[in-house]
Amino acid sequence: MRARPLLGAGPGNTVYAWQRFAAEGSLEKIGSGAVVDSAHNVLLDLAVQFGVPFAVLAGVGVAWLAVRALTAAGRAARNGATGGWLEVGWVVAAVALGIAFTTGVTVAPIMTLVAAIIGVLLAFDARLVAAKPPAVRVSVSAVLTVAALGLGTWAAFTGASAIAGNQATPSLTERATRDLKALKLAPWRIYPASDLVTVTQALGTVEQSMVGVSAARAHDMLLERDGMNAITLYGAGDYYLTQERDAARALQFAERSLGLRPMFVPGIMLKGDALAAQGRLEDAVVYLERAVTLESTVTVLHAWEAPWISYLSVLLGQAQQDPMAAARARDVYAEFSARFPASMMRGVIERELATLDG
Amino acid sequence: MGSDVPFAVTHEGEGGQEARPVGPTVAWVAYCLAIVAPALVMDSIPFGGAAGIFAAGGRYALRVGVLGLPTAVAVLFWGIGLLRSQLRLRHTPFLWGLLGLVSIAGLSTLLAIDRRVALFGFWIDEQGFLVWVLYALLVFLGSQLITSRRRLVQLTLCVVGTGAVVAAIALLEVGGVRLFGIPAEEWAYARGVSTMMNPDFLGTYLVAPAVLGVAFAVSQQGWKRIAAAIGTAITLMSLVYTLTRGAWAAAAVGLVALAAWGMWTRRNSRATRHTVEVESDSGGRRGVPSLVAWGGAGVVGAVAVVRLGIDTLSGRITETLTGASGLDLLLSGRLTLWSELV
Repeated sequence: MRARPLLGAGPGNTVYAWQRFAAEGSLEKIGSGAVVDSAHNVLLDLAVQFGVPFAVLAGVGVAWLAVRALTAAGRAARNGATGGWLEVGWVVAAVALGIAFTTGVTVAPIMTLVAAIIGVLLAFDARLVAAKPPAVRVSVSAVLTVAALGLGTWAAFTGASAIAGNQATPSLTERATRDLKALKLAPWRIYPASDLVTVTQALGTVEQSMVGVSAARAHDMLLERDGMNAITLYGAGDYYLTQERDAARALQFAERSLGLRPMFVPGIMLKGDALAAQGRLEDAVVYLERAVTLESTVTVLHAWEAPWISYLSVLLGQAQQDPMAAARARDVYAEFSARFPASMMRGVIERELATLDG
Repeated sequence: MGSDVPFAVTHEGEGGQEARPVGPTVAWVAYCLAIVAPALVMDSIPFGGAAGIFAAGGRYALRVGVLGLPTAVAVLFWGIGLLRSQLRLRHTPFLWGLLGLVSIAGLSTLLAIDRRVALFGFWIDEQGFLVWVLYALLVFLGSQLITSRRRLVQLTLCVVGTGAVVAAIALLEVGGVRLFGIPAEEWAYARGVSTMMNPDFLGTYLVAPAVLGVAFAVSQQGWKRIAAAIGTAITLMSLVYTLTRGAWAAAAVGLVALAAWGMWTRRNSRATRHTVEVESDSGGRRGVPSLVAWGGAGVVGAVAVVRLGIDTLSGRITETLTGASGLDLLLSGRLTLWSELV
């Protein structure tokens, strides 16, 4: 916000502002690999996207409008037959939604409600401009013709732009990888780092569908374009580990990813997973414990349970022979369940722990 | 020149000439559709190649489409109605403010870091300038089309009804019934995701229908009141189960504010008891509004405490009071996020 206070980063550009202007270490504070596309506070969101004057004008304007609408509701209560309940209901809805927006985000269904509420408040305030009808009279068919022509022009322009864009850029992945290169991180709506898997797999899928190649080739193509990006490398490694069962290759990708970003939790986890897949449990534990330790410093908003699951999985595997590992698994599970109380994995892990006790 | 009396009192247009022509009625129906439709459409439905028409091409295209098309129809028929003297322009100085905001947003789009994203939104995002223009158009249309108490009632009914439908789907999910195969994780299903696909979005969305539902129930009589009360109860219950603290706080404040309004009007009506009209219209149900509002707040609070568990609740309060990072933890890391974004 300080970097572009007057006009902001532009609508929908929060993610770019975050990547371009975030202070050193911010990524690790918020969550390794997390990309922020919302401030989770509407006024701050507006300030980041449109600038401070816009946010102030919008905030003060709506507050002032609400006060005026409340006054109108008061008059309705004194004079009307319904006690002004409906009018005040809309004003209170505006206030309540404002409170919810202190931690909320702007998605279309909620924003249409906001538009309706502000529209109603404006309607309370609006006065008729012209008592007499205007002199101009236009036939409906003429207006509809003009509208149809406008719509057709717009559709043709959009279609032509899309075709031209597709010709200039062979696939969505081109654009995505260009952004990846520019930002060093994927510019998608990612809250938990677990979505990295989705992103990289989506990229592979897009590439597959566009170019008609195998999934492995799709990842190779991504790497060719963006081989110096920790996320791309992690994505490829995750693909080879989970889909191709090629732990050695996954390990190579994990190490290349960590070479670029040593504290990159998904990369550390991938290395631990790859080592575990090779049967090197002692080594795997070291990396997975590091991944969990780093993950636990991340704020809850971007918490990611995958490293914990991997770590617990390896510990439970060791626990059959090693009582120390069993005790460690119980401790780790206690921390895990406190951090992820709603995890769907809790039942599975609890059953495994119960088996150990049995 | 224009009238100085708000429509809420004048009942302008109710059964009047502006409700008769087809054009303004189409504009009004399209406007209501634009308000409710985005909440009833899931953003995960792929839209294929046509997505590029509405946005940069992505999963939000359907929502933007069901928002954009009715808005365009409403603008068109409002314009026709205006030109054919079936509607009259309504003005408030705040409309200049709205124009100012759109202008700033336009400049911001021109000078954005990525102009294409600023204009259309990202391929899975819905925050492009064009979408913001749609919101601004809806605001403007509201100021022009909500010209009578009857329309205010209709719009309220739309919002409350849609909220109840969305909330009912979420409650079914909490109960284990999944109607639409929404791609959500188990933890999210446990809190209810409905068409919002995220419990936190759902909670925020339900705040306004819940508050309006109470106000609507109180302001109506007969079957409308009963239907509104049932719908509001469903909405409130679903809101509690979303476990969204911001939405809880907002709903609680809203209900308390309504209760305060009820007490104020009650005192006010006592002071003006000599007015026969007021006496006869509100006398029989004077205690109901406060009872409904306070009762609603009580139910929300009680169920929330039970649902969360006393230990969790007290633990969170202790975290907040004792540690520097307690509030941040309570806000799920948002303080850190805000400080970094500033």
